[in-house]
Parts: sequence; structure tokens; C-alpha cells
Amino acid sequence: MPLLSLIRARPAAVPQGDADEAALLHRIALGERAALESLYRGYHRRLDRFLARLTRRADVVEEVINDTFWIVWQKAGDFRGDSRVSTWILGIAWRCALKTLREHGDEPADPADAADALHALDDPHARHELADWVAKGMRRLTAEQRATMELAYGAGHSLDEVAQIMDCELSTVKARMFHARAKLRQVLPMLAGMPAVRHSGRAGRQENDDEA
Amino acid sequence: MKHDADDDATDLAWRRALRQALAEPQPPLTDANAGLKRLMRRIDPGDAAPAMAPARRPGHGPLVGWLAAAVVVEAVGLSVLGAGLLWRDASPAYQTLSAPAGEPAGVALRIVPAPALRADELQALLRGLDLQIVSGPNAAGAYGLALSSRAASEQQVAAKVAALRAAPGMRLVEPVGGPR
Repeated sequence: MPLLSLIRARPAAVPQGDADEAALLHRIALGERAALESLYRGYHRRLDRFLARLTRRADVVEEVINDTFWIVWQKAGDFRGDSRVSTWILGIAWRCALKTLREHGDEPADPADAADALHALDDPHARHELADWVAKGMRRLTAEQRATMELAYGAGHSLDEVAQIMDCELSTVKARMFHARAKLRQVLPMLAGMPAVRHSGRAGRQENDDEA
Repeated sequence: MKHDADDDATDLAWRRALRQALAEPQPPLTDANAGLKRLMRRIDPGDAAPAMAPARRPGHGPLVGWLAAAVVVEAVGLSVLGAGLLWRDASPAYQTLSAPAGEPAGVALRIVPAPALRADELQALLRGLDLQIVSGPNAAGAYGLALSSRAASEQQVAAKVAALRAAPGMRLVEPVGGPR
């Protein structure tokens, strides 16, 4: 295959910076669907991951992502840059998730699906077991606690950003994290004794964010 | 103290392990392409292909639709009302004494004499007031009167009206342009 055709076949570049994303929002506000597609592709994985912590139902996750970008399409012109684009979009996703979960319930349609979705890690035995453990432990938390833990630990948002996304006080975020850790400590007491996992870049930073 | 330090170290190790476990990559639950296709269908049911949209403001789609429908309904309503008014203007169902059709210029006031008033009595009355009949009677029995002197002031007309109203045999006396 010629090199040129390979270049042309590549998907549109996913924006990296907040300025790029704000520019995409501006284009979306002008009705440019290609910009919406680019933003959608840039956010699909992290929204999928965030929402998968709240429900294991793929149909519900897709519905919430769809609702989120439907609102982004409609409200892009309202974004004033008061927060990061990611904070704005995740805030929309959180509100959509709350609404949808109230309608559908947040229990997985089939608990066996949860384990099936957590695969393809480097070490199938240790990593799958660890992820499965954590996923099961997270299901013991409330939706607010799960979202808080995923945003702070999973996605690496600062606690201030988590408060913005979930539209609550910083103290509320800290309280949710405190109670979530206490509950997880009960159901996952041996977590620290599990085989070492790869540092994913985000892990390890903001170690003191929730120490207050 | 050593026990506390051990507890702190264990707690820190547990937190770090939790953070690392939660930050592990996960395979997605949903397919981005299928989701995007559904989103585009939702945005534009008639064209699912992601492409440049015609210039429009997102967020106003349903609103613009409702407004457009409201404008159409309003336009139809105005047309019907306008047509009705035109029809009414074109063929009036009544005629007022203050605006009779085909009235000559110079009419300063109108009167409707009582049927009992004889013609010579009416003529004597008008002559005494320096008035003359210039039109009528119309279908309502009204006569148009003009002052002999063309440059009649409003006060003069008012004085004539008052005198006519005081005279016997007058059913109606009104200045042109309505009651004063």
C-alpha cells in the first residue's frame, strides 16, 4: 500500500490539549459535525471507563455517552472556558449517568459480564485477578463513591476537578473518598499483597491529594 | 510507636496498590464507531454520515423547529384575518352617518329631521342659521349641511350645532368628524 494512502487512511488526530479541545467546541458550536466526531473519539475511552465503574451494562454506558455528546452538540456554544473541557464534559456525563441510572438501575444485567470485560492484561493470571477483585470491591460502593474513586484514582483528576465534575464541595469529595477507602479496605484487605502491577503513568501521582 | 509506623506504612502501601489497580487500563465496554454512528443519526436522522453540517446553531434544533412552526401558524392566521378585514372593507355591512359614501366636500354637519318637520319649516330654520343642504337625504334620512361662508371656524360650526339641537323637530344633529 502506498505511503500516501496509509497517511490518508489514518483517523483524524485526537486533540491533546485543552486549547485544542476548546477550539473543537467552538467548531461544534458552529455546527461542524467533523469536530464533534473528533471530540467524541477523543473522549469515548475515558467516558466508557468512567461509566463502566458505575454500571456494567454496555447498553446503559452507550446511552449515557450518546446523551452526553448530544448535550455537547447542543450546548457547545455555552462553554465559556471557566473550567477545563474535560471537566465540563465529564460533568455532563456524570449528570446524564445519574439520570439514566435512576431510570435503569445501576446493577449489572449479568454479573458474569463484569469479569468477561476485564481481560487482555499483560499477565492474565495476576492482573486479571487484581482487576477483578477491585471491580468487585468497587461494586460495594455507592455510585457517588465509585465515581469519586474512578475520577481521582482511575482518571487522575485533582480533587478540585472531581468536585467540579460532580458539582459538590471539596469536603464532600474527601468524605466520599474516606468512606470508599474504608469500605474497600474491608473487602480488599490483601490488595497490598497482590503481585506488583505496572505503573500506568497516572498511578502514583497526586499521592497526597486525599490525605487531608 | 513502631507499631503505628508499621500501620502507616501498611496503609500507604494499600492506598498505593488501590490507586495503581484503579488506574489499570480496561478494555472498553462499548464500541466507539457504533456509538458515533448512533449519535450522528440522532443529530441528523436523514444523514448519518459524519460531515460538515450546514451552518446552523447547535442547541437550537428543536427550538428553531417549533419557532418556525409558530411563525407559519402565525402567518396563516394573519392572512386569514387580513383577508377578512379586506373583505369587510370592500363590502361594508353598514353605513355611518359620519362617513356616508359619496358625500360632497364642504359638508360641516349632518342632521336627521323628524318626519313631522315640514319642508318649509326646515328651510326657514336653515336659512335663519345661514345653512344650506348640500347632500341627502341618504338611506338613513340624513342631510349634509354646509355653512354659507366657506371659511367656517370650529366655533361657528359648534354654535350651529347647538342652535339646531335646540330647535324643535331635530332627531339628530352632529358635526362632521364626530360629536364635539
